[in-house]
Amino acid sequence: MKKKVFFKFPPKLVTKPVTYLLVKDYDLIINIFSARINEDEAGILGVELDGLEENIEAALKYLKGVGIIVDDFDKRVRIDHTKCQNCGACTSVCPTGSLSSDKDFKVSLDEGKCIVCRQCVDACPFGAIEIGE
Amino acid sequence: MPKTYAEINERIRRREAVVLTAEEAIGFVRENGVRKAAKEIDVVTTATFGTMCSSGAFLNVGHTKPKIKFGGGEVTLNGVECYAGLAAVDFYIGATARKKHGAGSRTYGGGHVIHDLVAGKDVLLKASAIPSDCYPREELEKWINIRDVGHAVLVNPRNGYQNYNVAVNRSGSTIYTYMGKLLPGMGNANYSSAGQLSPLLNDPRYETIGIGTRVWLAGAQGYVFWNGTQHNPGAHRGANGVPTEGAGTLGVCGDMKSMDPEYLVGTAFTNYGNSLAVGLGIPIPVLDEGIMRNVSVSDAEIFAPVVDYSADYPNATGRIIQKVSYAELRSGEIMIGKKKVPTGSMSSYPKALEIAGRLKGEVEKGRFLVQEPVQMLPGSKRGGGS
Repeated sequence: MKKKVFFKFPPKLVTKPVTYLLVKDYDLIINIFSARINEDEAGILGVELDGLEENIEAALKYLKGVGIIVDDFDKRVRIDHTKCQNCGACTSVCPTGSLSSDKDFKVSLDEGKCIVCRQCVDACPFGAIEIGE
Repeated sequence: MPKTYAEINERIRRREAVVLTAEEAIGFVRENGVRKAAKEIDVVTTATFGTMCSSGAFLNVGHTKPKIKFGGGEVTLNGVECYAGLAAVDFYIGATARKKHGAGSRTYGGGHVIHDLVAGKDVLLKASAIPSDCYPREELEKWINIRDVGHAVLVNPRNGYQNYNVAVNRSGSTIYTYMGKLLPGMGNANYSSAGQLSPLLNDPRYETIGIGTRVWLAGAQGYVFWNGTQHNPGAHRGANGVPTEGAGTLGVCGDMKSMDPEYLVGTAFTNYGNSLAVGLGIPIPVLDEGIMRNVSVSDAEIFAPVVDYSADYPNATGRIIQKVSYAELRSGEIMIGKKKVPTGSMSSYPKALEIAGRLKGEVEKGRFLVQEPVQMLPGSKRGGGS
């Protein structure tokens, strides 16, 4: 099975070689789709885990045990169309092409491609992009 | 046979004028040729909707009892500082002014105040003044509404920039600019022009747009009052006469009381500041074949310079990486050297198209006449400017 999750590392755990352990000890294929370190030096890693269901569960249990916060991939990017002016300031910062201008140059969001990396949120001058549940 | 402004206006008044948007004009000329198009088409509408940092408004709120003199004192609207160095109850709110304290201090600015006023919202005016014998009052705090304000005039000393830079970032970290968020290593390229719809790109030599031209400004009828600041007719031009870098600009003004908030929208650029997105439309009278050819210009024939905003722009080196066409920019990616770079637009083409369509409707219904300039802009092919 495949599962998308966010790992949140407190500052003291930022240096822990998590992906290595997941590959070696739990036989998982790891695809990192976003990696950020916040101003408070906590790290946020967005990954897709691919492997046996019991291995994924065991891996997540281990990570929670050492103090890494595991967040399900339940956040969504939302465009407030009452605020959006269809300029396209967000499309060029989108790493997956989920935000794009359609044939009429209106901005559209393909949620299937979105990895909720949040790059677009502070790129919008109209405050039209928000992260929701 | 060339047409005159009077002839075109007569047809507009009789609701017989044939009007196209600048986008429609491209296909029409391609199908029918310039000669036939010039004969059949009376007016072509152009438009743009983008952030215009030099926007602002002059307000006059009427005298109070007892009287107060803002001039020399301080005025804020919703906590955003205004310029009060005018007469007693006149003041100016600029689009880039920023709320300095309290909630919204990182996002709310003059552009938002202008939008809120035009949207009919009550806005809090606070003023402190140096009292005099004729203006004794020292403080004023009241909610104002655009309905009750004596006069509100939107003024843009620089609007409708004829072409603009394409911004990239060659440094190793993300930068935040008025051209948006620019990713490191040329991770994206942002441009800001309506291209084939943009007013001055359809009148590259300022043959019909001049001082006195009637314009559609955020839904109201306004005027070009002067060439815009930084107006530079001597910019580099292609063989078609279209500038390949920032060139002409327009100073425009209009009655803010009759404007539409849909076309005056406050903006907040992360780590940069505030501004105002403004909708501008200009009808171009098709006086002859030369003007018809100009208004049929397409994105593939308009080129813009790619500039590094991490070093060359801030340091004013004047260096240009390369030039790209608006057709390439609108495709969603451009090639810079061997690198494929995704593009984004800071100016809204759909809104520009909407404005060109609305203006077309107003001309067709006989409600919007074309005005011959009282003086041409500097650099005009038809002379008159200096």
